Amino acid sequence: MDRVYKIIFRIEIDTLFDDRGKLSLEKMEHLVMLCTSMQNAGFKVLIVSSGAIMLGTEKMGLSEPPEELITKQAIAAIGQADLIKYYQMFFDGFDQIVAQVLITRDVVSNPVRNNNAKKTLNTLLNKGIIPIINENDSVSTDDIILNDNYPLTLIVAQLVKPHAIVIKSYQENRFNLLVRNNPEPIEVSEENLFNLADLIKSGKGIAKNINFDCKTGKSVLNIGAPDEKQKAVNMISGFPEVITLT
Amino acid sequence: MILNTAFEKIKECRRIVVKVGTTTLSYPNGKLNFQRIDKLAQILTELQKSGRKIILVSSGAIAVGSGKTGLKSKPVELAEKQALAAVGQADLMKVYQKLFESRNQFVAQVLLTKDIVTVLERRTNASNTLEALMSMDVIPIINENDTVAVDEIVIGDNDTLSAHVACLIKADLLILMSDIDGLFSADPRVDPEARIIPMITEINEDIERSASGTGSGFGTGGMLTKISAAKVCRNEEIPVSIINGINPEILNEIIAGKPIGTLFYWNTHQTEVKTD
Repeated sequence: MDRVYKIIFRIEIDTLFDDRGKLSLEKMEHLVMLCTSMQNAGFKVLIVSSGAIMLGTEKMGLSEPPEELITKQAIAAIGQADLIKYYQMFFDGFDQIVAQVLITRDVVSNPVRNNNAKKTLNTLLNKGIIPIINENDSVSTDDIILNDNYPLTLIVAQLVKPHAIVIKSYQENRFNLLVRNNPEPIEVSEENLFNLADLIKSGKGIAKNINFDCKTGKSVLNIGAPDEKQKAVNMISGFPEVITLT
Repeated sequence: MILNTAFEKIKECRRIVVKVGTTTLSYPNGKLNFQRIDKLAQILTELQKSGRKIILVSSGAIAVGSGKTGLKSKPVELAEKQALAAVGQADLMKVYQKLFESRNQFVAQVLLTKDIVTVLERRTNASNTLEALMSMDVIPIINENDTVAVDEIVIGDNDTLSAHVACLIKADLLILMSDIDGLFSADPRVDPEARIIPMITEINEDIERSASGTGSGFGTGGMLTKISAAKVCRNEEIPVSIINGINPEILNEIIAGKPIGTLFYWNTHQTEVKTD
């Protein structure tokens, strides 16, 4: 690959957990393998992952995530430690170093925080470390209220200006891609993820080569406000064309 | 106040914030001292099981991150430090989790920035989370959120952070563990007459001078950040104990009322200590 491409993997609950709400070690290991493999292929991978509350819920022996906000925050603090432990455990197995980055939404509005978060993330990427990002639920309630960190993905996108965002499709081994400068999400198979560089390079032409089904946009749309998809598209396509990593 | 009476009062403390510095957690080469962390986990678990509520404020993320990424010397550049903190924090939590959970004690990770002091919403959220964790009998393990903060990353600042945490949860006691035995009357490296001041009821110029005199040779944060931590706690009349973390057993002795290290015990301190 002649250029370095930054890719955000957006990991939703159903990418990691089984139907009974238990962490699927198999799913996680596969995902970790995939991310490391892409990293080894020369991409710079970032992960934005949900799952802390689910893990905290299980650990404390609750049958379902608590409704009450304060309890949820506490459960998130318990589960976050577990979430990163599992990621670390699997990434260690593939000799890939990861870092935990917890951010609050004021990284958008506070210029000092914004700058710090940017620098930290880029330093990690330059060192070949995969950042695993989540919202700092203990001090911030935004995502907990929204019940999803999809908007967090957009904030991270704003910080690192990725070339693409990868979201697991509801279909087995399929992924939805939001590629920079491309107005529509694309659905690809796992194998085709590795052709992402070509997809990014070829720009707008790619859409016609992919059998894009509007329905596959559903996993992009199924959370957050109705205009989230448009926001995501704007954010991705609004990025400057060339970003180089030193 | 008589020295022993003040130390006796420590026995009654229920909510205790314990801060451990990098020098307590790691060897001089930066690698983790598992044996000591294990001991620490054991003692804190016992204290928690005795009905007290323990909150741990832990440094060490940057040291662990440096070790993991194979860095030989301490990082200088801020972005580098923050990146290593993000790598190391995950590892550090993993170690704590392992050592506490083997004793059936759950822990939680809480990363804070200084805006828990200045921003009401953050303050409320942090306080709510910590209270909820304590009520679930989980030990919160707190560190600075280095990734987004700059003002917190200066060395030794976890002293101040732990003082703010102590105020936030209205702790009965803050214990600062580092590689010094307490506040000395003079620099013990140069002055053979130097002795530990067992109790301080007021931070006056003399104390400040002693603290600045003992300077940077003593641990990462030095004495000055411990004095500023004590000043924060003075506002809420929270006693502050400075002890050497080389042997975590000292924690038990402090809580048994033995006069060890330096105890900041405020003149205005009420005689009764609240219970949970």
